[in-house]
Amino acid sequence: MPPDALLRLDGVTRRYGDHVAVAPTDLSIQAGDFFAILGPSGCGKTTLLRMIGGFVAPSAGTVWIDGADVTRLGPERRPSGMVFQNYGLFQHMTVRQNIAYGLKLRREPRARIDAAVDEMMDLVHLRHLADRPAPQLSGGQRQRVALARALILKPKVLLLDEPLAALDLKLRKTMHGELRALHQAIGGTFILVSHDQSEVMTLADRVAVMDGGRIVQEGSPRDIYTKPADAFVSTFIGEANVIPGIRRGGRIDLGPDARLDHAGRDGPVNIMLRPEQMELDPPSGAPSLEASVVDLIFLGPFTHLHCALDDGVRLLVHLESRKLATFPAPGGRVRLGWNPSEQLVLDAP
Amino acid sequence: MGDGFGSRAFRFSSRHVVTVLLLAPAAAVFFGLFVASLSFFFVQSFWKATTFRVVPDFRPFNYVDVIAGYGGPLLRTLSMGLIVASVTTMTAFFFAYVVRFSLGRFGPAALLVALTTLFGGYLVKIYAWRTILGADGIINSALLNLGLIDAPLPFLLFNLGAVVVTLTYYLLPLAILPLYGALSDIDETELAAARDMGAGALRTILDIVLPQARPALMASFALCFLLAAGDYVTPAMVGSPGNAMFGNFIQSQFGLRMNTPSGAAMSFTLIAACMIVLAAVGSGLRRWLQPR
Repeated sequence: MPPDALLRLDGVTRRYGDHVAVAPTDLSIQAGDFFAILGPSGCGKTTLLRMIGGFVAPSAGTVWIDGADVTRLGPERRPSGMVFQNYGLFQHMTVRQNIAYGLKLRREPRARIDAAVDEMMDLVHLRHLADRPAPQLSGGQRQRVALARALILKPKVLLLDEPLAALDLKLRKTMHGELRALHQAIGGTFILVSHDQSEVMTLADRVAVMDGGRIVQEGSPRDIYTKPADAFVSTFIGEANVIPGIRRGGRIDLGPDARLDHAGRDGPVNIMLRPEQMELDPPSGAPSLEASVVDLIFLGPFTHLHCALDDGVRLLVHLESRKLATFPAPGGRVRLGWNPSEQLVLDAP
Repeated sequence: MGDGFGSRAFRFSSRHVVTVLLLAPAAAVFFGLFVASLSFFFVQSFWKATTFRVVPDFRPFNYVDVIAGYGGPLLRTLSMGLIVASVTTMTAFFFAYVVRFSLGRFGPAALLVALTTLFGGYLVKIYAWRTILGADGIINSALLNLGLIDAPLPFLLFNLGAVVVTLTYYLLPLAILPLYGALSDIDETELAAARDMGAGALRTILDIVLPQARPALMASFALCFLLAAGDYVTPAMVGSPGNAMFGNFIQSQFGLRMNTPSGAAMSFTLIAACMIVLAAVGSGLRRWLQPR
């Protein structure tokens, strides 16, 4: 574990009775990272974030921030700031009062507070709404106030709990851009919790994928996309075709034209292929499978082909429209192949 | 679109009829029983009382007489009302706060228990407190039996303290309800956010919870204050005989003394004084709970 990690979790665990919400977890996050914790709902990611912020006490383990053990400290004494999923703006205050609240608690001089609030409102484009009461703000404006309110205290770690989940798609995309710009402008350390893989791919430079209360894989978005640790990660990050097979004596037999040599222990395996890694009518010699076309969706530059193998396994293929001489018809038969160097063979559990 | 306009106008007017019909009973009670009798006594508060008779007159001096003759009891009554309303509202706030934010799923059960004290009559409660606080009451006999005291403590009953205790007990559930309603509307995330920004538990209550509960605080306070300041039964039964409340004097003007002009002038003096106190408390709360 690098000694200069800004945030470190040592065996952090949370149990509720017999239920383990977060299994013993080790994690270290470097200063300046935009780190994302990605997982389906109920995977323990929000509980993990709340333990970092001090809102949930760990059942076991230690939380270190900037070299200090903060495990026993409440949120008011931690150098972390949180942006909540439903924002939690103070409804009886204006935009300016919301943003200034933390600095007023610190009893900073009035002039310094006003200057800092003005600067922060400029950063998140809220200057023109300074005196508007919180209940009269739109979703995106609330989001910006919540961000500004946390950032003005210059937290060592900014925790973002599904901050964009309540916004519509267009606004979410705008906020993605703003969050990235904000992170670059401030140079702080952000930890984002999300169930939205495209959001994580857009924003984060490191990702931990959680499932069932534990981190199943950690790495850069590219690492995780190209080398997912298991079938769950492969389908959760991006789209993936998972073809089950059985390995006997170093050979996996998927069909008459798909006999793959692959050393390893005998037993069930999953072959993982991204939709863009499969092609129609492959050159001879490449492994291929026969499938029937279920649906065809033309999306301009790309055409998505939904297919089914005879044993029911569904396959999704992304094809470049301009390379298609004819479009396969739903109900017809096609041959789908791939380059064996791109396939990923994962031992099935 | 003559047709459409006509039918819309018809629906509009029929809705008005329904509104008027729904309001009618309450309006009849309000104007017939409250406004009419109050107006009658307001007029009478300027009349003159002679032996066994009241004579129409215009005597604003009736009010001066009230202040001169009963200024002491009036101040005592307003102070008692302030104490009762403050103690009750604060207790009710802490109770409602714990029910809303700390007890989790046991909250509704605790609220129900508190509201069961609404059962049981007003007089029953007063007698209950006489039984608890009296010379041979529960507290004194317990202390005597434990050997902690040799003679019953005389200062438990028949004083201002006993009045405050009894009225607080009676008013508490009434004060809890509006406060619990207001606290239910506050998002818990706001409290978490305040803590995250460095506010301790007390600061969070002062800066985030109380300002948003201010209308309910005022409602509970006004309810308790008006009922306490206007009460004349509790002071007569558990209070000090030498320190009667304003309500007791009003009662005797209308009763034994048969001086309704004076009683009416005293009533309107009390109403005016209560309104002044409530306005002062309201603006004080507003100033105190303003976001800084």
